Amino acid sequence: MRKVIGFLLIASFAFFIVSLVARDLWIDDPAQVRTIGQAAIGQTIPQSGAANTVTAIVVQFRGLDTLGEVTVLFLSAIGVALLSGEFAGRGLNELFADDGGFILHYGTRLVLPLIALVGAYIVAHGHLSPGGGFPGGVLIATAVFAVLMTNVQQRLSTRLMAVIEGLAGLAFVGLGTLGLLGDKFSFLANVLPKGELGFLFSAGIIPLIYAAVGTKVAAELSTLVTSLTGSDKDAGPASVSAGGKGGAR
Amino acid sequence: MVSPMILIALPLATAFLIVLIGSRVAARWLSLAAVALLAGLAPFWFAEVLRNGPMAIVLADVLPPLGIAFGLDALSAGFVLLIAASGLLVLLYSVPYIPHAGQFEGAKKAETRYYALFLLLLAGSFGLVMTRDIFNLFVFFEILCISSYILVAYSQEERSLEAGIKYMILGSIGSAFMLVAIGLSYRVAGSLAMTDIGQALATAPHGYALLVAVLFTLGFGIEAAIFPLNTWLPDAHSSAPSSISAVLSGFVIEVALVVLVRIGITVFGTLMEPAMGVLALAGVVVGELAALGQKELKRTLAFSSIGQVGIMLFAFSLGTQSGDWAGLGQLLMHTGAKSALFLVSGYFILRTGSHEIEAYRGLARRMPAAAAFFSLAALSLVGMPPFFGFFTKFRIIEVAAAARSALGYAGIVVILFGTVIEAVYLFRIVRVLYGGVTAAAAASANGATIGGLGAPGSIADSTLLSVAGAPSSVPTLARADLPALAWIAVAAFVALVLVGGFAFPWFDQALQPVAAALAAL
Amino acid sequence: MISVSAVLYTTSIILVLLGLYGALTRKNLIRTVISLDVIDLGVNIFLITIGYIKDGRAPIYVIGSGSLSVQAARMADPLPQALVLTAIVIGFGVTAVALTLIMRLYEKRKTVEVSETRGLKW
Repeated sequence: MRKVIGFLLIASFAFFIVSLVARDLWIDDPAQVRTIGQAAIGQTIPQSGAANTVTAIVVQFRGLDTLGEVTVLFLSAIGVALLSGEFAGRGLNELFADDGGFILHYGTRLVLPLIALVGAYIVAHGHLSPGGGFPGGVLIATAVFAVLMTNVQQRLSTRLMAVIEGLAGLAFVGLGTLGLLGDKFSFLANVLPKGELGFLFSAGIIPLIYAAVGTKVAAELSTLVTSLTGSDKDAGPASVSAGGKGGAR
Repeated sequence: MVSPMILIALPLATAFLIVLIGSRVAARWLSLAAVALLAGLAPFWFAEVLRNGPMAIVLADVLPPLGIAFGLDALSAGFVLLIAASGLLVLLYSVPYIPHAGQFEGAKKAETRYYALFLLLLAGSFGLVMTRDIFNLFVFFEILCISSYILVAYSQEERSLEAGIKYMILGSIGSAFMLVAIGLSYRVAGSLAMTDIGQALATAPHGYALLVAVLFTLGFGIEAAIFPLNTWLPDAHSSAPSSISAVLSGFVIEVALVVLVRIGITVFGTLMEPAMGVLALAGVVVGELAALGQKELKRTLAFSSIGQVGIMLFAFSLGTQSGDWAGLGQLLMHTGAKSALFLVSGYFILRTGSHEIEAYRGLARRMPAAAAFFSLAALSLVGMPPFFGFFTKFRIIEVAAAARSALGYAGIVVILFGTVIEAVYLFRIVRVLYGGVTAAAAASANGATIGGLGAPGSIADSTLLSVAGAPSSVPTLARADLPALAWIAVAAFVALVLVGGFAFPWFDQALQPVAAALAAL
Repeated sequence: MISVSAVLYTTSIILVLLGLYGALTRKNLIRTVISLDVIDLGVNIFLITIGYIKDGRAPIYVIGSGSLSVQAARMADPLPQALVLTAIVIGFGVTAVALTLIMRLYEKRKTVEVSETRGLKW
C-alpha cells in the first residue's frame, strides 16, 4: 500500500517536473544569462589575489556560507558525540572479531604522516589549485581513521579534538571580526595584503581561513569517527544497562 | 552602532568557546551572557530600523550580487528581538531544568553540549531572518534544522530518538527540494540574491516560477509545520526536553513560516494563496481534533501548535496587509502562550514523573503558581478576553470577513470551530489541575469516564489511584523542584499575553511596520 | 546529438526520484538513510550541471599558461561548484547524525526495521 502511494507520488512529481522545465534544461547553451559566476571569474584576481576562483568565492565572496558550513560540521560532531553516549568508549573489539594483523597495524601508522602531509598540502594550496580546507581536512581525518580502524585498542581523546576544534573555530570567527575592526567595517573582509598571484603566501586571509577550516574539519571528522567506532579515550566504559532511564522532558 | 553581525558571530564564538572549555558552569554563564547581550542590543536595532529604514549589511567587503546580500529591516529586527528575548528566557529556565532532562551515560558532558547546540539554534534563526540571499538562507536553515534534530533527541530515550529520526528524514527530503529550487533559480537568474531571483522569475516562463515555488515551499513547509508536512511535529515537540519544546513551538516554526511567506510574496510573486489557505485550514482542523484525543500533556500542546500555525498561515494567505498584521499578532501571542505552557508542563513532568494529564489531577493545590500560569496562558491561547489571544484571533476573523471570499468565510467557520475544540481540551486540562480525586473516580478504576469530563479510556496512571487512596488526596510529588530562576521565564511569557491584552493598541502599532516589511524585501 | 547537460540533468532527476521513492517506502532505517544519500547525490549532480559550459575549463588561473584573460574566457561557472562544496558537507553532517541516531535506536530495540517502531510511519 505504502509502495503504491509512494510510486504514484513519485510519478506525479516526475511528470510535474518534466512538463514544466525539462525541455528548457536539455538545451546545452541556454540564452546566456550573465551569472555572478562569470563576474567572479573577472573579480577574483583584483579582489582576492587567489588563482582559484572557486576558493575566492567560497572563502571571500561567500565567506558567510563557509562559516555556516563549518558550523554545520561542528553541529554534527557535537551531535554524534552527544548521541553516541554509551558506546563511544566501548571499543571496536565488540564490533570486530579481530583487528588488522601486523601489516595493517603498522602499515597504517607508517602511512599516516604521509597522508596527513598530502592533506596539509591540499589545505595550504587551496587558493592556488583545486582543494582547500575541506578536502584537505577530510584527508587528514582519513589518516586518523585508517589507524583507528586497524588498531582496535587505539584510543583517541575527543577532549583534545574538542580543544582543537574550538580553537580553530574561534580563529575563523576571529579572522572575520578583523574585518569588522578595520576601516572596511565588514565581517570577513579580506584585510591582509594580497601579495603576488600564484605564490603560497598570497591572497590575504584566504590561506589562513582555509588553514583554520582544514584543522577544524580534520578534528571534527576524527571526533565523529572516534565516537562511532567506540574509540573514545574520554568516554567512560560502557554501562551494562543499554536502555536509558527516563528523565523529565 | 554595533554591527548586527554580532548576532551571528557571538553565538558561534561562544559555542566554540563552550566546547573548548568543556565545563558546565562556563557553558551556562557564557551562554547566558552572550544571549543577554544580544537581547539587550535587539531593541536598539529595532528602533534604529524603525527610524531610519532598512539597514543593509555588507559582508566581506563585497557587494551583492557577487557577495551575500544581508540586511536588517523591520521584520528582521522584530524577529531578532523576539528570538533573542525568548532565547534568553528559555535559557534561564534551562539552567536548573536541563540536569533533570535526561538520565543517561555522559549526561554531564551532554549538558555542556546542550548550551552549544542552543546557541547555534539561535544563530541559525538570526541568520534566517536577516539574509537576503537564497543560498545563505539554505545554510542558516540547515544550521537551525540540524541543531533542532539533535536537541529533540537530547534525552536519548527511545521515543526521543525515534522522533529525532523521523524529523530528520523529513527535514532532509525538504532540504533536497530546496536545493533543487535554488539551482533552478540560479539558472534562471544568474544570481543568488533574492531581489534578482524575484525579477528573473517574474519574466521567466510560467512553469519555472511555479516549480521553484512549489519545491521551495515543500522544503520550508516541513519546518514550518504546514499540513500535511507536519507529521513529525507531535513526536518531536513532545519528546524534546521541555525547554526545547518551548523554543520549537515558540519561535522556530514561526520563523520558518514567516520567512516562507515573505519569500513567497517577494521572490516567487505568489504564495499560491488558495492552496495555502486550504492547507492552513486543514491544518487547523486536523491539529485541533487530534489534540482533543490526546492523553499526554505535551502531545496535546504539540497538536495545538499545528492548529495555531494553521491559523497564522491562514491569516497570511489572505494576501492583504491587514491579514499579515493579524497573523503576526497571533504569532506573537502564540510565542508567549505556548512557551509558557511548555515550560510549565516541563515542571509538571519533573515533579510528578508522568506525562499523562490524568497524573496532574489536583496538582493546583500543591503548586498554585504553576497551575495559575498554565491556566492564564491557556486562556489566552483559546482566545478569551481580555487576554492577548482574544484580540489577535478577533482581528483575524475581522480581516477574513472583510475579504469576502469563500476562503475567508470558510476560515471564519474553521477558526471558530477550532476555538471551541481548543476550549474543550484546554479547559479539560485546567479542570484536572484544579479538580480533586472524586469518590466516583476513585471507585471506577476500570475505564469509566473520569470526573464527568467525558474523556474515554482507562485511567492513565493507575499508580496515582493506588497511591491516592482517599478521594481528597493529591498526587505525590517525589522529585526535585525548580528554583525561582526558572519561573522568571514562565512569568515573563505569561506577562506577555496579559500585557498584550491590556495594551493591545500599543502592540498593534508596533506590529504595523513589521507587517509592512513582510511584503517588501 | 544528445547534449552532455541533458544526460546529466536526466540522470540527476532520476536519482532524486529513486531516492525519494526509497526514502518514503523503505522500512529499514539504514536503507532510508541510503536513499537520502542518493537524493543528495542527485541534487548535487543537478547543481553542478547548472555550471556546465560546453568545452569549459576548470576555473583556476594557471600562471604561465597563456594570458589571464584568455584563460578566463573559457572557464566553467565556478559558483555552482562552490554551492555543491557546501551542500556536500552539509549532507554529510546530516547523514552522520542520522546514522548515530539509528545506532542508538538499534541498541535499544535490536532492530532497524520501522514496522517494529511505534508510529514511525511517514
